[in-house]
Amino acid sequence: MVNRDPSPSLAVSASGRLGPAPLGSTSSTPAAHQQDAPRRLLPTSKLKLWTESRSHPNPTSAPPPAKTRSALQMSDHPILSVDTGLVGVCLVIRSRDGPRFVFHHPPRPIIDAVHHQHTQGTEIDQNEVEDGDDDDDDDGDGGRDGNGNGNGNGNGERAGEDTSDSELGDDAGYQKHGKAAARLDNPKASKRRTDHVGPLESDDHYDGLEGEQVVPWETVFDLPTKDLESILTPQRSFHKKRFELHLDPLYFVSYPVHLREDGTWKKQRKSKKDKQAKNQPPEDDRDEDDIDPLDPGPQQDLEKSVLLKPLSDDDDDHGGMTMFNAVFVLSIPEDGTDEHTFQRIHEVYDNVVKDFNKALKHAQAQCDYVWKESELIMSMKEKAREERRPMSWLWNEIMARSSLAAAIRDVSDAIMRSKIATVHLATNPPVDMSLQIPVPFYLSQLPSIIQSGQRNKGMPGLLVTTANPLLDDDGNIDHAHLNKHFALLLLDDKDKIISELQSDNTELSAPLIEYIKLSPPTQSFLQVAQANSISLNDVKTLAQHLIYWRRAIPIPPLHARDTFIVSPNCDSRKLPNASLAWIKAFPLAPQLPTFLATLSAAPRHYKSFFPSKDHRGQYMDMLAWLIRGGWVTQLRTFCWIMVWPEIIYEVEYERMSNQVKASKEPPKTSNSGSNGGNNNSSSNNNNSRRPYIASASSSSTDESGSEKDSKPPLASSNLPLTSEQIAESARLERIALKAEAENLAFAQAFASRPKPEATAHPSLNNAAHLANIAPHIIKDPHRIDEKDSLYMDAIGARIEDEKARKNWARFCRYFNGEDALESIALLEGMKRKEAWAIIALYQEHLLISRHW
Amino acid sequence: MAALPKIPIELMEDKEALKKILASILLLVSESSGIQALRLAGIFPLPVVVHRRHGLLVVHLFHGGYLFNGQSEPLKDFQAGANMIEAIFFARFLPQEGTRVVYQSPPGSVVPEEGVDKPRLFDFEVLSEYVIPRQAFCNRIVTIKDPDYKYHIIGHPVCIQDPKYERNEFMFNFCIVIRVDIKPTPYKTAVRRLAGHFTEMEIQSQFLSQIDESNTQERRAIGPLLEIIKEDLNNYNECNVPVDDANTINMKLFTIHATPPHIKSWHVPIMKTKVNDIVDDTWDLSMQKVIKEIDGIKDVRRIAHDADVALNLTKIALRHLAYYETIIVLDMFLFGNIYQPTAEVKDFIDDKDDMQTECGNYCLINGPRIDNFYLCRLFTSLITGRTLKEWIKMHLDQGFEILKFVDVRRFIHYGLVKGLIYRVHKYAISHQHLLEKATSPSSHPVPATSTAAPAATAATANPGTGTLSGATAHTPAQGHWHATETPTSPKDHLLYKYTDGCHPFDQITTEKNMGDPKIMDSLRKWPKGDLEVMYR
Repeated sequence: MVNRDPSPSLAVSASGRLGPAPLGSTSSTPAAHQQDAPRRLLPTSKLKLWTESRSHPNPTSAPPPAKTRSALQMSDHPILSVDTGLVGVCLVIRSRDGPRFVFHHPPRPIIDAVHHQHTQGTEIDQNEVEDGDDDDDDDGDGGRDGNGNGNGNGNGERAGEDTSDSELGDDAGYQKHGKAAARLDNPKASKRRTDHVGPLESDDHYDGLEGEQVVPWETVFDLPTKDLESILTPQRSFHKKRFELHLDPLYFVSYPVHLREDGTWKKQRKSKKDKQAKNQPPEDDRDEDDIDPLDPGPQQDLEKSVLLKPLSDDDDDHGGMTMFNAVFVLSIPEDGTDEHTFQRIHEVYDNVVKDFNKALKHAQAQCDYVWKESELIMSMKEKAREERRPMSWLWNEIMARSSLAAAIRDVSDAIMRSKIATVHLATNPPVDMSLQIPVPFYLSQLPSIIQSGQRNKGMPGLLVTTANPLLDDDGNIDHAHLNKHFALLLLDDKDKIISELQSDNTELSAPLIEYIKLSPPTQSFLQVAQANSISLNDVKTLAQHLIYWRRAIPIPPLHARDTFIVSPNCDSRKLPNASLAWIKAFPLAPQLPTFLATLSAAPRHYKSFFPSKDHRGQYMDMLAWLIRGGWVTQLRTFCWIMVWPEIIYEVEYERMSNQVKASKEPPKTSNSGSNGGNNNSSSNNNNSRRPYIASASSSSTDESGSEKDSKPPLASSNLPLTSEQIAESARLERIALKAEAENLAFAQAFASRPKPEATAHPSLNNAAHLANIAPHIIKDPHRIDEKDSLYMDAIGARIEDEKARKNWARFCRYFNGEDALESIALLEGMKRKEAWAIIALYQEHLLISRHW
Repeated sequence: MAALPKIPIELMEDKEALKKILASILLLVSESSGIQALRLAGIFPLPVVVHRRHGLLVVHLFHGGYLFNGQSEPLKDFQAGANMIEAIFFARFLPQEGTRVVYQSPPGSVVPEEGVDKPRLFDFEVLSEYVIPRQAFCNRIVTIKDPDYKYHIIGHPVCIQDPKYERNEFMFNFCIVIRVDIKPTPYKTAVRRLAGHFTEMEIQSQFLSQIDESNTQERRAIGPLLEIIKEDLNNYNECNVPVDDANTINMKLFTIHATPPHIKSWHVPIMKTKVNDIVDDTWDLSMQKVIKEIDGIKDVRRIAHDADVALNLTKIALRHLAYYETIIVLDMFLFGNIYQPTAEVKDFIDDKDDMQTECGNYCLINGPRIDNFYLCRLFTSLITGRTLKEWIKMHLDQGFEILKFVDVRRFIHYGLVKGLIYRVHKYAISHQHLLEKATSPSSHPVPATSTAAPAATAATANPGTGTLSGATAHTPAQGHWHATETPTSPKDHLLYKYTDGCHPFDQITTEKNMGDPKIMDSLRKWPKGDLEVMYR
């Protein structure tokens, strides 16, 4: 059996949870901190506590840092709302009494109607199409009845509808599963569905047609919980596997957890002192996941015998619960592509479903938590059923009394709104964890024009930039660490965040507040660390914490000399409210539309908009505000090295003159030396003017060289020359003669060429001999061939300013079209002005492009 | 054709009769080969396409939408012969035995079969609950993935309730098994269709429930039937299997494309494929007219006008073409436009996929072919704040006459299509308009939807639509503007509704038939200081 479980332990998933942008909290280890000499903002002990769960003694099995609920997350920032597709969460268990549907939240899941308005292809008027389908159905009914197959009431109708749907509605109908399925559902359900109008629609119990009690919470998603509980308790083969069921139109995703065959919920440690078994150290969880629980290992028997007794003792305790399953229900808007569906399910599964179920397993193993809570919830439901309590009342009661129900509520509510869920399981010691589906904090690419219809879906308001904070200095993506040359931009008012942190009052609050106070968006992490002599790792850790909690994003440090333009992705529908907020924040500044218009008119240094030097602070705040809202983005400068014809000619001339020199010397004496040089240059040379000559001469020298080396042994064997050998040597001679003649001709041709002349501005050199040479672009100075390196040397030699010339080789590596020139100063640890002054001297040789 | 039987038109409402007609057509064309399109006007309201393939006749009925089969639209996602379907099986619920797989293809792939020694794809016992689920989950697509996350098992369980059955119900399911990495949607359609066909046949003649007892000659047994369906879907992405006199199973796996963009009246469609070559007179008339007018220069409004087709119909037709990825929509090309490179321009400089040569050939005019270097230079020198006119002038000043060497329109189109550059649009923003929007709550959630409305409605509707009428009652801001600046309120301005920063100048141009200078002129009448022009 292939174990496809991609993340074998809680510990791993704790960092893995952070997904594509895992700026989570668990990345720094105490060991790494020891190396830092500077002042520690975070005492190691605190850091450790924070890296783990705040109050949990078990570092790895406890999920990442949870804040108290009061602190939840920041306000509705534009970038932070993504539709996750989640419509509800339910908990199902299998106990001695068979499968039981324990709890679900929200009590009445709303499946957004929009989700099921599948726009198929080019249907523009959705209503029209839907109506058309209804007509089809009617026809279908009529036709079937006419065939004498009507089976009276609901039964026939259902089958009939199905038929007509598949037959007639096929072209258009296959995308309207939602509707079709709902319609095909049993008539009772659809009838009830039409009844669902008011808020109290299904809050109360009522009596069905046959006098049976219809209990409001026994139907979810128009499906009876009695049926759901059986279909959502899969067999043991799904133990800790991805369970993914599609009941059109809903997707049920979960990570079922079964009781292990040895009767425990968690693999026990070998040395089984009871206490140790309870407070399991970190490695345990990993071990457990690595070993297939179904695999009868050698120690299994031993364990069993040890465990048999406690198991029988506890039997009553866990009520024979053999599995539990927290199922996440998704309703995914179908926009025609399966990739989209797949991605949604994947995101929820990887980031939320798995971790939540694992946490439940941890709690269950620790103190039978899931069973006890389930028992409580079920008994409350039973009682309420007898008393015919309204559902809303019951749900409030349950969530007040059961921390598991409350946790389900919290996860479901938060993930549905794409927030960070903070989960608190009241075990002893309690489990605190946070779950989120990571949201991107910047876009590196505008949605392509080919799918320009998606442009509006491309999260308008999200910052567009290609500056990737996860790239390390060598250009590799490192998910665990922020680039130290980035700065932290708070996504909300500084004072507001500080006061939130204060009210939060965790052990981490103080360092965070201090850090926020010290860290302007104009300074990189490194600069902040150096200026305040704090350890860089602490700075990064704190920054990652704020980023994980969506209160800040990493950006290239803001600088007044940089250029900012109105972002092509800004959400102008938010303009009205944003401009009011702007006035409130900056009453004395130009109005928002005015300011944006000014910025957008032509790209200029931001500094040039300052009315005076004194406005600097204010204007930098304004800039931060604009970037935070995705209104503007930095226009960065990228460049490539451009080789002008004059340089190309010069290099070529030099190379040819070397060749002429080499060919003039008799090949025998300078065999190996010039041969090598010749070879290289000619093989690298693809100058179209005389490819034939070059290759001929090189091959001749080659052959003669090899001849010289190989002949002596042949001759020493004293064998008479065969006719072939004679012919061969004659041929070689002829070739050599020809090559010589050619060399001569080449030398003559070379002599007639004009000598290269270095002008002050190679770009303006209009000399006739350069007219046919096109300028050349060096694509990537990291990967260059010999010719490019000759060009680069030649250009370097041209630079007059001594300092600039010295730095040429050093700076060249940034001229690859990928590294922004704005970042050179930071990366090289130079003064900004100095770096730009040097670059300015190179300007003639650079092809410059400016984009974000 | 002459031998077509006369069929009364009333019969068309009857599906059974329809099938009979189809069967007779099959006979008629059985001698011919290749693809034939029959449009039986007067008899069939629908175009029918008959293929002869692999010894089978395949009949496609098209209703609604346009005919895009025949030769176009290769199925990109399915490669013929790729054997996407790993297995297909028929399961039913037997009151005594429970869920049972009656037929499977290939043998032994789902449940053990005598004489087959291959490993099964998955453990059917674990998943049988999802193949024949409880009644509440029947009659819908039910898909489960096996515990090893290797296969989709796509089914559409059907439950027919009738007193004639034991336990008053008959449950069955035809399932298709595909690998997890294959897109399931086309197969869901197929499965739904299978369920539909067999439900109908079961209702007609207890086709499925009586399998065990008699296997009469004229009926095809289900086993071979499934085998054929699987093979044909795997090899040809479609199948046509006559089951008995009255029933034929026709299925085709359709590629599902992404939802196409909404077409705006200022968009310019550009053909990607030569639709003109495949269009024939069975196509929708508006579509035919519209296609003729697409030349890569005309905007949608012009196309509608020149084709004499209503604007909204034109948009629908174009959207349809966009759905099949036969056109690309770009912006209007004007020399006053501004373009800005994106990070993808690096791909061009790096000459990824030989883009430079491709671009050079695309925008070549009858002159010498310029070196690729100049193309790089042209792209990188585009920048926000510089109109094309200025850009051309700049290069002219540097001694490079762009217009002599490069078809600028095609050059820009190339950049747009490849994502190397994007258009910087021009927007007018009125402070007062924003203020009103911010203060009138009703307008807040969905502004700017009116852009999608056809021009006809937009013209008749009150500028600013309903949302602003509420705001007219209390307009302190308006009074303010009255007092300070102009005698006329900006609200009465012709362009007022475009001044919330959500409507590009292009839209004004097409909807009001005004060029950029005229718009700017008109906006000059605005109260001073209230209007801003933003580029983004």
